[in-house]
Amino acid sequence: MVGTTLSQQLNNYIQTMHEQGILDYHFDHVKALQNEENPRFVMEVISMFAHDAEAGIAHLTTVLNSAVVDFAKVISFVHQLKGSSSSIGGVRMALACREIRHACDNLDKERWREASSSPMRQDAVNHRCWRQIAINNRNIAL
Amino acid sequence: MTLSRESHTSTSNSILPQSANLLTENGKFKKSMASALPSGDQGAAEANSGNGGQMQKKPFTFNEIVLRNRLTALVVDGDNFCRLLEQGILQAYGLETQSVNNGDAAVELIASGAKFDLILIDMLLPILDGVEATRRIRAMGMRCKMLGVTACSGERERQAFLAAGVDMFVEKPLGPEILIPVLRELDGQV
Repeated sequence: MVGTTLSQQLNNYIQTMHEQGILDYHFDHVKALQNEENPRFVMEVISMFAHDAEAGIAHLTTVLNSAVVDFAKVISFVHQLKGSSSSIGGVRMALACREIRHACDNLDKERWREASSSPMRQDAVNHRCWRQIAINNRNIAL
Repeated sequence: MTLSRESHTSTSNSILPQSANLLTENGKFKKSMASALPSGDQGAAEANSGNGGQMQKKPFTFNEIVLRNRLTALVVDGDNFCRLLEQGILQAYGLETQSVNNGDAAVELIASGAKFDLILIDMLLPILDGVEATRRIRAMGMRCKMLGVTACSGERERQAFLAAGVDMFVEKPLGPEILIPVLRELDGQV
């Protein structure tokens, strides 16, 4: 059955994300919100997160690549991204945001460059994973 | 009831995306034994069924606590995603919820006479921040349980939020290990 195959693919994909440390158990809590009366809830929540995260990362990238970095803006974007990613179980993204925040707090330019370069790549990877989950969820629901 | 401009207040049956209405007409959470989304944990359990006694991971459910009383909650968070998710989680546990997206709206809602058993409030909020909003809510005599749920993690922030009047400082995410004991206490199950 196509539906079963997609479901199993999604399960395998999510399991892989757990094993890679991209997701933690909070994602299971979000997933548990879905039931027969609300079959689209998790898909919509994940899609919303993927959309907001994409916008947040884009803003963050722009600010970090500026000649003069506005640390207040960085902190604001990172704070929002940390909150939303941790809420959905995106632990690796949340940790990356925490590292950037600490570096900004200390205004340690070397540290924030290191913190932002690697996590920014990680964030890009994480973001692709979330978009894939949202797509798989949508395909199952259709 | 007067709300400040740009405030956003939503009640429990109309706040979640599209058809994600978790409440029945009488305000009870619609709990279903079947999940439309297959659980990875269930898959793992099946895979391990013939594994000679290896521990199987118990899938998470919102049935760990069944409320005996009607409990109400207010979610104050400036981020749409977090606000919707926290409301969804509270509703899944059986609470009736409202939400606002800034501290000023929260204060005005309380000042209008609205009462809640539980308030989840973020620290960084537009218009009026969570610390000041908490201070003003407490100053009005509101003694309900207040959890400061925030992405902030510094000790300075924690002390400031606690000093303002939250009962607990919770770094996001708000997990069941924290929420369930709070709900048990509010429901008189402790």
